[in-house]
Amino acid sequence: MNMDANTEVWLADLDADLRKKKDRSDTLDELFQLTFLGDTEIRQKASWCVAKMGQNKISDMRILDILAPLTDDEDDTVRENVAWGIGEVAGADIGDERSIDSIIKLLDDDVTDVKGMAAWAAGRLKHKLNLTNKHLEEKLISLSDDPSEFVRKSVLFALE
Amino acid sequence: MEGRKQCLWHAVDGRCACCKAKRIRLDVLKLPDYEMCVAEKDYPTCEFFKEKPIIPKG
Repeated sequence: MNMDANTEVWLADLDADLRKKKDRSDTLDELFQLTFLGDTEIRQKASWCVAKMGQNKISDMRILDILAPLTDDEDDTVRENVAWGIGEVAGADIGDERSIDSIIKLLDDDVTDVKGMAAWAAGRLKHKLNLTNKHLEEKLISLSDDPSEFVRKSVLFALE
Repeated sequence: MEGRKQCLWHAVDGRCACCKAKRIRLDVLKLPDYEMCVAEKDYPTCEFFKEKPIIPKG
């Protein structure tokens, strides 16, 4: 599916509503479809909307259901949104083993922005949900001397 | 990092409109005024900087 005018307008309206902190969890099923039927631009925007709902503290397990399978998406912006959303929705008490598995994968990402956001999300899982494991902690420690300052600082946050 | 002129996310009232950037500024960078962006100080190191596109007039 390519971004047609209707989808573009629908996503733009949803973006605006979410920035105003409106509860638009009624759109999660449509967003789910867009994340696997849509082209790259649609997946970027749809995953941003899902992650933003996490930031708006919508406590809905479908947020994680949608984000977790996008961990392996070919687009780095989508993967960054997955890390961001997993970190955000931890603040709404949503997170489980899938969150940890996704973040461990994203910490291995080739793209610095994705890796840094994943490290921040690891911190959120730990601080908000007390959710971590030995593998994740070891992975974070191994990134303590990452060439990127963003990654290193995010790792410090995660290991606090 | 040099040569950054105008960030797409930088609102006219000085706030940062990038939801992801604000979270990192608060949690990771520990900035107390994390919603605000000061171009001279913040542009050079911001991971979320995005050049504002120049829209042709007319």
